[in-house]
Formats: sequence, structure tokens, C-alpha cells
Amino acid sequence: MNLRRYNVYFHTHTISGIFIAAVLYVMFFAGSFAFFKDEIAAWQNDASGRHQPYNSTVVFNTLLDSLDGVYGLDGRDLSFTMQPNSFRAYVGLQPSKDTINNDKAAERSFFNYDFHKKETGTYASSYDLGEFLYRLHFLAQLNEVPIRIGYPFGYVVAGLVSFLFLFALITGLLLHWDKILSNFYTFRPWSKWKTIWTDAHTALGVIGFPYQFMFAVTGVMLIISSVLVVPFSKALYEGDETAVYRDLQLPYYLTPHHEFLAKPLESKPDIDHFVRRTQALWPHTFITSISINNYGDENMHILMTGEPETKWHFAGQGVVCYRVSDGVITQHKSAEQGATYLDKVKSLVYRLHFGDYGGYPLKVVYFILGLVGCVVIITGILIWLVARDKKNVPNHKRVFNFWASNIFVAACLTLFPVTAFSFIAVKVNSAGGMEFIYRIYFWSWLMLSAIYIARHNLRQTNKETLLLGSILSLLVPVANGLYSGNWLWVTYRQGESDILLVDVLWLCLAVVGGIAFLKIKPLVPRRV
Amino acid sequence: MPANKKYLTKSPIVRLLKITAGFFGGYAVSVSFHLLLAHFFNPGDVLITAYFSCIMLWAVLLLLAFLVENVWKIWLIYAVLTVVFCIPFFS
Repeated sequence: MNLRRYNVYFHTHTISGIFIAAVLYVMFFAGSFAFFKDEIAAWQNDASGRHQPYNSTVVFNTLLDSLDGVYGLDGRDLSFTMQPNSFRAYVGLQPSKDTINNDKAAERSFFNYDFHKKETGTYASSYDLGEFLYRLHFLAQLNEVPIRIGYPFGYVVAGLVSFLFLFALITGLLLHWDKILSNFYTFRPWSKWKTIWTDAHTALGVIGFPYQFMFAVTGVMLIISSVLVVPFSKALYEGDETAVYRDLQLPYYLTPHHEFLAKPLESKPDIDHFVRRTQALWPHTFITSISINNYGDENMHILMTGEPETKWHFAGQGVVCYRVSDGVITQHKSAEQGATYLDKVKSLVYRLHFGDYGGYPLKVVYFILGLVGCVVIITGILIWLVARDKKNVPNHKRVFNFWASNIFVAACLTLFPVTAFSFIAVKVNSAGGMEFIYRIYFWSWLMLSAIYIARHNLRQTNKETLLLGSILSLLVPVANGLYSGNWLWVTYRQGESDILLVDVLWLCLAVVGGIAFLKIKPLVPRRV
Repeated sequence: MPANKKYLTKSPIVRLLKITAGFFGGYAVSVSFHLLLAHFFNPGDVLITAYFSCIMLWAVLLLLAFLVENVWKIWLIYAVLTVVFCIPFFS
């Protein structure tokens, strides 16, 4: 290979890599757990989505009756966003257009509803650890940092990191291109540390490459689609961004807007009837959203969107709209037939990123590859450090390099015990909501990182976080048994595979972490 | 074994120019290219394709800015390409 090119790949790979390492580690670690967002929610709330038929549990009419009693629904627009693998929905109530008969017309309301428990909760009180880890993986919590740049700060950081990650992946691959086969089969664990880190970094990096590449690309677009949507809207849609999203057929932007006639319907609308009609239209489809336009009015419309179960179809998005007064379908696109090019590529973006197209086996593979990504990042940091830990490097640079690595490694590796600890904490106090999870997670993370940063011994950090993490992991299923009675054998017997999966996952992490801890050699006469 | 400095850009100004050319110029080229496609094909379809292709192209263009030795050449190429791709939108 051209020597100049080789060195350019090398340098740009190193710089972009070390720049994003710590944040990317957090995104990968939290993201790996985010595949199991719904399962973690079920686990925490002791609300398995498994042992109960969905259709007879998710009943709208009774909910709407009680909402009608509280708010008066006539003339309102309502939306239900259904949460997959659970009985929960986000519900939104818009102000009523009937301002004469309803003194609460101006009120609007947003809340979570659990159709199984028949409980309403605010977003903050229904917040669970699954949601937290899911949001942490695109740094949503950083949005609260008061840095105003016209777009949520955390999302910008997440998008930038994903993009640099893509860049580091491309340069990394090109860097190894000539020797990709021979290096792939090279592992010299008895050699010096730098060789070990390099071999592991290369081999695991190459194995995980397609997976990580896919995440970098889809990740950028899912978190900052504005980089495309804004120029597209300016050039082709006269600046109307919602028109762009409508062309992308995002369910939220498909909400119908029909005129409010202020003529009440003759009989009370039966939403469940229309849900059943949709289910008959698309028998293998999960209804993802229901939006109601002009509730109780002569011109009331119901629009539903659905995604086919991946067992039957990988791609597709169905849209159906009913006029309630005469039951006529005013708009219909099947979820299970005739997927367009847009549907196919969109499904590719979402399904590849969320890993929801192959059941638990696939999610577990995704999870493992995600953690492999974490290993690649840590070995990358260590190569960076060890390669610069030489006599010809000025002392102040070596000190800086060491402390940068020390801080990165401490902040990254403590995530394992901190996450396990938070799982235990939400079992002890399952109704703590958002504030409690924030406090538990971020304080324990800060304190543990501070301790290891102060001790500045990378080897010790690695060893002890593995041990602590493994012990806490082992306690996660125990906490679930003690506080919810969901011992492994109980959930197994009851077929609550979602709750069981989380426990088994932690048990496996405990075993793998424990073995890794035991395999660490007791004495090494060097600093790193 | 860090990269051999002999092959890297020494002047910090040139380095900054390369980074900005690759990042902003690469972005402009990639987006304007997809806008051009959207001018001829269905914008929704182009946009969803761009979810993959635009980002990949951008990353490659960022790298290209580091590979080309003359930083003015890369600025010029990216600027000209952006303008050419935008021609249908000037009218």
C-alpha cells in the first residue's frame, strides 16, 4: 500500500477513534441493553406481555368512556401510540373544537396507559430502566445540559459521534486492508500487551465490522435526520419539514385533519369495532398507532397504522382510515401486501437498527456483538496509550495520555457494575420513576468512576469492575425473586419469557464476567 | 507506533482547512448530489435512500479530503461539485 495513504488512514483512524471512544462506549453499552427495552420494562414492572391475549386486553371503549367522563371527548383529536411487546400506550388528547358544550375544551393531556393494569401514569412516573437505557444510548439525558445550539445538545453529540464512528470504521478497514486475512487469524496472547490489544482490536473489529458499520450509518440518520430533512425541505418543499415527514410516511404525520361539523354522531363511536375490522384486514399485523379526528362528530375519522409481524413480512406499513358515521374506508394501504420502495428501505433502517426481525435469538446475537463493540473500543484506548508510552515521548505528553486513558477506562468500565446495581435498585423501589433512576444511575456512576480515576490503576479498574459487576449481576435475578416473587423457575413455569430473558441475561453476564476476572493473571510487573 | 509524521500534514492551518473541507464541503457535496437526484426521481424515495447513501458518501468525502495533498484543490472540487449539483434549484 502507498505509504502516505497508509499513514493517513492510520492517523485519521487514531484521532477520530480516541476522540469518540468514551462516548461511543456508553452508546454501545446502553444500546446493547436497549434491544431489550420492552423486556426490561416488563421485568421492572412485573408485567409480562406474554401470558395474556393482546386483543382481549387492549380494549379502547372502556378507557374512552372514562376519559369522556373526565375531559369530555367530543370534538377532540386523540392519539394512541401502542408500545410493542406490552399492553401499554402513549395517549394524547388535543383541545376540543367544541368550545360551547365543554368547559374543559382548552385542556390537553398526555399520559401513559397500561391496558392490563388499567393504570394511568405520567411520562416521568411510568419511566423505567428500559426507557432510561434506551434514551442513554442516544444521549437524550445530555439534552438537559443548558447549551443552546438550536437542536437538542445530546442528539447533536450522539449524531456527531456516530458519524465519526463511521469514519473511524472506514479508515480502520482500509488500514488493515492489505493484511486483513492474515491479521484476522493472528492472536498472540503470550506476547507483550500492545500486541495483545492490537490483535484483539483487529480481529474483533473485523468480525464486528458489518454490524458496526450498519449501526453507524442508521444511527446517524435516526438521531439527526435533520441533516437531510432540513436541506430537502428547503430545496423541494418550500421549507415545510412536516411535508417531508409526511412523504416519508412517518405515522405521527399521517394524522387526518377533517373539518369539525359540530353535528354529533347518532350513536356512541365504537372504536374496538374498527380495531377488529383492521385486524381482519391485516391478520398478521401489529397496530402501531390509532389517531382519532373529531371524536363524536358527524365527521369523525379514525386512522390506524400497522407494521406486519416480521415472521410474515420484513417490510411494510399499513394505513387505513375510516369515516365513523357510515363506516366507509376512506384510505387504505395494506400492511401485508404491496410494500413500496419507501416501505422497504424504511423497514431496513429501523429493523436493522432495532434488531426486531428475528426474535430473541437475533437480539441476543445483537447484544453480544454490541458488547464486542465495547471491547473493541476499550482495546483501542489501550493501544493508543501503550503505543505512546515510550521514552522518546515527552513526559508531559505521557502524563496527559495516561490520565486521559485512565479517565476513559474508569468511566467506561464502571458502567457494568453501575447498570447491574441500577437493575437491583429499581426492583427494590420499582415505582421510583424517572427521578429515582437518574439519581441512582448517575450518582453511582460518578462516584465509582471518581474512585477509579483517583486510584489511576487501569489494571485494578478492569479487575475490580469485573468482579463487582459480576457479583451485582448475580444479584439481579435474586432481587427479582425477592421483591417480585419472579424467581427464574416461576417465570419459566408461567411462560413469562420476557422477564425470564432479562434474568438469564444477567446470569450469563455474571458467569462471563466472573470467568474473565478469574482469568486475569495475579501479578504483572508493569504499570498498565 | 503512532503514524509516521513524515506523511502527515504539518501546518495546523492546512490541517484545519482539510478538516473543514472534508466535513462541511463533503456534507455540501453529498447533500446537493442527493437533492439533484430528488429533482429527477421521487423525493421520498431518494430521501429514504439517502438515509444510507448520503451518510456513507459524506464519510468517504471526509476521508478524501485528507488523502488529496493539495488542500485548495479539494476545496475547489467540492465547491464546484456543490454548485453544479444545485443548478436545477437556481431557476
